[in-house]
Amino acid sequence: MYIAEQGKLRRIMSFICFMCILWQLFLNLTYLFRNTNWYKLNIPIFRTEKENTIDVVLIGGSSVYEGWNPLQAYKEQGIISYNYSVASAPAATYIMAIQDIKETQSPRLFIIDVRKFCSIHWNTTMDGELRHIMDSQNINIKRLASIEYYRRLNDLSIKDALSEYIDLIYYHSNTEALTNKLNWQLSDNRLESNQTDVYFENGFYAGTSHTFMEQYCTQYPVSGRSVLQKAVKACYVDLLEYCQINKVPLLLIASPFAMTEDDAKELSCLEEIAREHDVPFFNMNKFYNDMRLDFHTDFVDTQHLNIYGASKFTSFLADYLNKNYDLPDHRGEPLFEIWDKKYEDYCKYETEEGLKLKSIINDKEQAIKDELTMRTSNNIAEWLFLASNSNMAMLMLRTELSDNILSEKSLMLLNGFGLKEDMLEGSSSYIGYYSGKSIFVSTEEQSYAGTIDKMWGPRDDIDYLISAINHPQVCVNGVNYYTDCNGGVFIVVLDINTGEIADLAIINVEANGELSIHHKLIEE
Amino acid sequence: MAVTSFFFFVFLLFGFGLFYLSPGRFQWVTLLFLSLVFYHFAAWDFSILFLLLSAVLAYISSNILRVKRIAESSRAKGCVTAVAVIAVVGNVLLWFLLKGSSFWVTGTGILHRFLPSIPQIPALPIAGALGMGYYTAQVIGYILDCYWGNTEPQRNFLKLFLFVVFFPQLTVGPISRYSDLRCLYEKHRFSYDNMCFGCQRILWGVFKKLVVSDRVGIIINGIWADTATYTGFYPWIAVLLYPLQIYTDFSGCMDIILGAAELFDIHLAENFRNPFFSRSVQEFWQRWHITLGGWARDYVYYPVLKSRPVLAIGRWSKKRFKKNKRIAKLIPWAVGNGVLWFVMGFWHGSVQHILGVSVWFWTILLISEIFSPLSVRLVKVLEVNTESFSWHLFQSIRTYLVYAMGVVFFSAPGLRTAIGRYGIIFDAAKHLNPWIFFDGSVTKLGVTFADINLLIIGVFLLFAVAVLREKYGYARIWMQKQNLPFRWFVWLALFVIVLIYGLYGPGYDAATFIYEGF
Amino acid sequence: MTREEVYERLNKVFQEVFDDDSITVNDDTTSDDIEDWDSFEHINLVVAVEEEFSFKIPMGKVVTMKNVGEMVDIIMETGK
Repeated sequence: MYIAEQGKLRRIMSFICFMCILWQLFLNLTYLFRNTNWYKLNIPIFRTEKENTIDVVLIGGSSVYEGWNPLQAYKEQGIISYNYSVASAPAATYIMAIQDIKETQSPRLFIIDVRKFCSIHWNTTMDGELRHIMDSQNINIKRLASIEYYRRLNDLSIKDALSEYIDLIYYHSNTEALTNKLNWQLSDNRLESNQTDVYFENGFYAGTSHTFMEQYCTQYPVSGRSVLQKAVKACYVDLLEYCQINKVPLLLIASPFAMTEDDAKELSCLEEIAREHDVPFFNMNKFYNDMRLDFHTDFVDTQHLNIYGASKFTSFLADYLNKNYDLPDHRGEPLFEIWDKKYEDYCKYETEEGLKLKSIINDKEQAIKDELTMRTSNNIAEWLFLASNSNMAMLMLRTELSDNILSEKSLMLLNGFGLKEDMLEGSSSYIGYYSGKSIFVSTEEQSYAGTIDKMWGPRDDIDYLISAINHPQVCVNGVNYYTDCNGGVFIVVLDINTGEIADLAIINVEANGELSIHHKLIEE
Repeated sequence: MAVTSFFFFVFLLFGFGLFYLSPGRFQWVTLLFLSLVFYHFAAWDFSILFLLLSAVLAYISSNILRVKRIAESSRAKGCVTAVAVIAVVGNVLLWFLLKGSSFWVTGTGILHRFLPSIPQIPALPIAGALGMGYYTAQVIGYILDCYWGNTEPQRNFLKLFLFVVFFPQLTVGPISRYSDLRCLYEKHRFSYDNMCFGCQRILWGVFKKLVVSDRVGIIINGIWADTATYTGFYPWIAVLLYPLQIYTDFSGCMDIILGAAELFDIHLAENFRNPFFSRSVQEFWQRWHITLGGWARDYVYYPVLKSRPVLAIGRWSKKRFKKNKRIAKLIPWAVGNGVLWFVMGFWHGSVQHILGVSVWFWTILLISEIFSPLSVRLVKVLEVNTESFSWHLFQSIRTYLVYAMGVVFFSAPGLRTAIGRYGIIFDAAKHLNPWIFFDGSVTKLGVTFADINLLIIGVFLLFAVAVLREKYGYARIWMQKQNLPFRWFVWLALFVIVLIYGLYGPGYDAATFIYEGF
Repeated sequence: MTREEVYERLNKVFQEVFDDDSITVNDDTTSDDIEDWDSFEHINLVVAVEEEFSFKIPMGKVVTMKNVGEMVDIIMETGK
């Protein structure tokens, strides 16, 4: 009897042991095969931060990690913080984020950026953006509960949901993951910050590109309120109530961006609900002047700040925190000495990138000035130099063949800009699209169409069409600018940044083989 | 709910718990409940009426038989026979109306071509029940067993219904005997061994199906989808690889089913026993789809051979060929086998299966029977060592090739496509292209070299397990003797391979089993 | 009839059906022991036994018979 009991005990133990190994293998495989895009790495790195050392954690999407710079906040106010944010993380996952943060840290303040509750950002698909954040979560009940919450909130079908809950089902066929060092490093869902090449520190990714914007397109006060969608309101109120019940110290903010009037109304609505629940709401879009925010230089696109904007945003918000919250000043503490060193490194990085950014902005401003020069220039070389700038796009169409042949000199001039002789001689038609380094040319095709995306820029998409079918067209947003050019090539030059027509020109080959240029008037 | 889906495994887990928590006397009720739940998720609910109908026919007839048998009068005996015949024919008719539509559609189609006045009758617009071929055969077996007095009829209708609808064997069999499944109604105690063996078997089956079979399927489907490009050796590759696909598909599914039943302490009959180790086509059908062969032998072959007409033929041929005993036996054998093979092909439910199963194998068996004295003499003259490995290998390869040529009918979705494929392969033999094996063109079919390596490893594993099975009855008996680290390594490695390399998830059609439609 | 008598007649039947005068059977003989004993020959055997002992073996027993011993039991029950 005793031996049988011992055998039974041994079996139970070995069964449990086997199941544990099986489960661990499953976890590691799940983490190993997941997608490792750079905008998800914040969270595995967060887990390796020393426990209970972070005072402020920010939750949100790309607006947060491209805006708040923890190193700068430390330098200016001594705040130790971290961006727990992933690109486009749905707002329904914020409660799960708070729970996950509390596993390794006990922050004195949670700051949540409410912009994801605006209708422009509220997403409703089962895939894509939900995976962005779910791919960095540990496999546990909270994650499953959050996916289920998101699904119910948006009333989605369960058809492919299984591969969302158990993401190994979705990712296991990605055997390339096995060849990738980063995937192996993430096989325990933790990552040291020095293990990745992407620059960021404590979750801050410096935005190093730029879009021109009109200053202060929409400003408070804005009259009227919009009605939030049912799902949005439910999710928002759930979040506020969760924090209330669990005594989570919460500050809601709306980070600065190029608001439309609708956006502004929605934010007002969110602010009011926050007030009803006694939760502080700091809408930074009311303080552009105080932040000295320059819409002309400080933004990557209408939704994200670049390093200039991030610096101003961080400064302002850190100052606000200092005035309104009793957060400890950690400057000078031996535990955080390394932050001083990291800040110095960041400054070097910022200066480098700042210079690059400055030159990009200068180029764009120069391109706008060049338009005037272009319109009056009769020097082909000068004109081509200005038109082939990467801030411009040339749409070219020729429908007849002239009798004249290019001279050696003219040919060399064209070649210097990447253009060939078929632009003006040889074939009877020519379609070309030239933008910066890329050039599309065809002497057989009859049309070429495309779109220059606004990519969250302040201007609309630019649709263009170059066509020789039926009647010749060079259309920009439906307006045909083509006029007859006697065997020459008709060129529309667009400024990509502003969406304006920079110039309309016709280049011809003269009898002596030289090139000549005529400008058409642009009717406003 | 497909047998390789995640939901099925969750269902098994839940069922397993429920089963062993049920009191012993009602465990069969739990099984019935689970079977109904399974049916709900696996098929259209109303089609269960067909199963009910079959079960009712079986119940009524078997209990009439039980009562009448006691009576001695010849009228009672005649009545008994009539009842059995009606019940069997009723079941066959039900099956034919729903699953045999291919026959009358093709038949009337051909007739219509020659005599346009005969209309082309379409199939009935009702879908058949799940596993109709399998459970109908089981029910017929039960009725005949009662008729012959081999078993006591079941008096409880629900218990009989459980026999018909028992969920592991509902989709692809095996075709069980009632006497073997009496254990359904007994009390079952939890056994650690059953649980382990069951899970191991399921894992092995999933490996075969998701890692090997579906992968080979990619290659084969790729070739048949574009026979204009893939000519020469390609169609031959498709033909020769298909038995591998169908074997791992069917036997993998069997492993899952038998493993699942084992979790509930029900030990179903084996359907495969290393079929490609067979030395002859005769032996092949004792190792491939064993339960179908056994069922056909006991419930078709024996009755047919013992029937008056066939016995008469036997006597006539003995008289006619007094001198040559062999030919005297050959004629009744050919007739008996003809009926047997016809039924085997008929059961698969379409004209192309009649051709690919019945006609093909009957012809092969007939030819080998006719030439058997000649081949015996040839073997002696050539001094072939019939006990050697090389001879066994030759016989196995021969069996494999015979099967591969016949099963082309299985692989095609319709009769015309099937015949077309034969045309393609013989045509392709005229322009052979051996360079495709060396220049990496296999990657155009949608598989990588990693996949090929995986297949080779898979086949090697299959072979190793098959050898262990020949020697020890079951490979896992050998496994039990090995030490813990090795055993655990094997199971965990299999688990990891299935998780990574199994063809499941969005983008893969999880459910389709080749044998599911019968 | 005694069992020995049955076996005497039975041996002759087996030798006749399988065309081999050296065959002798006992209670434990099964189809595995005689090379040519397949399902076809099984029926031939059954028919021959029926003829020899002048009775009809019920179909059910044909299917469930496991060895020669069982066959002899059936013969002793109903044969002549």
